[in-house]
Amino acid sequence: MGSKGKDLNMALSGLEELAERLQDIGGDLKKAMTDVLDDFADTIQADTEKAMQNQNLPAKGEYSHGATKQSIIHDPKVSWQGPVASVGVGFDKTKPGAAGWLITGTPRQKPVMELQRIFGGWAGGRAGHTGQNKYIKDLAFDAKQIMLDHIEEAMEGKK
Amino acid sequence: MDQALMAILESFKYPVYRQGSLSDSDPYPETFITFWCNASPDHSHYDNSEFGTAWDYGVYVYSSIPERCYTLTANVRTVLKASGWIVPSQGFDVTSDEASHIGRGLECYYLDTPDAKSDT
Repeated sequence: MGSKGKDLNMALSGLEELAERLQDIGGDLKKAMTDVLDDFADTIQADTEKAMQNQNLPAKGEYSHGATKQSIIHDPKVSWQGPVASVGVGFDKTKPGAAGWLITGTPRQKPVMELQRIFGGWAGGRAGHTGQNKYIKDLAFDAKQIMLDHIEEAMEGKK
Repeated sequence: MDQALMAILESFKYPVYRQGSLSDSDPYPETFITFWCNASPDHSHYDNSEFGTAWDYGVYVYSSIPERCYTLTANVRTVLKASGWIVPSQGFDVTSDEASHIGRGLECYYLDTPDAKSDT
C-alpha cells in the first residue's frame, strides 16, 4: 500500500503453488516476485501509453498529451514491506489530470474502452471474483512463465 | 442483464441513464444514477461450450447533495447484493462534469449461470 497508482495484488491463482515449489528447491522467491512485478509494471506502462496515444480519445485527443499523459507512472520501483511486495502502476493520483474519468466516464462522456480494459474490474480481482479483469488474468499467465523460469534456474543451479 | 440492472436501479425512483448518454446541454438532475457494462466474458467453458456469463458493470451515483450521494450509493450496494450481485467495495469517488455535483462509483459483478437461474 501507499504507492501513488494502483497497487497490484499478487494473490493470483496458480502462483502460490509455484512460489512454494521455488522455495522448496531453495530458489530466491523475493527476486522472482520482484521480477514478476517489474514485468507487470513494464507491460501496464506500455499499454497505458499506447491507450493514451489513441486519437479516439475524447476532446479530439486533448488528453493524449499534457497533464494526464504526464501522470502515467514511469519505471516504478517494487517495494517490500515485510513479506508483501507492491508496485504502483497506471496513473499517479497525486498529479493533476483526467485519468480517473477517462476510465470511468462521466454522465456526459463514455469511458475510454482501452483504459477500461486495463484498469476496470480491479476490485473484483481483489475480491477473488471469477469475472476478474481479463487483462490481469493475461498478466498472471506471464507471471507463471517468469516463476517457471526461476524454478528452472534454481534446479539448474543444484545440478 | 441491462434490463435486470436497470429495474433494480429504477426502484430507487431517481433517473437512470447509461454513462455518457447526457449531452452537453442536458442539465444534471439533482440526484441520478448511471451505469456502464465494462465486460461480459464467458464465465467458464465445458465441452467446447460456454457456461454462463460473468457480467461486469460500473454503477455511478451523482447528487448535488453529498450526504444523499453516499447514502444512495450504500443503499444501491445493499439492494444489489441482496439480488445476487457481487459488489466488492463501499465505492470510490468519480468525476462529475458539473461542479455542483459529486459522484460515487461501485464495481458490480453478476455470475449468470444455469445454476444461478435454477436457484431463483
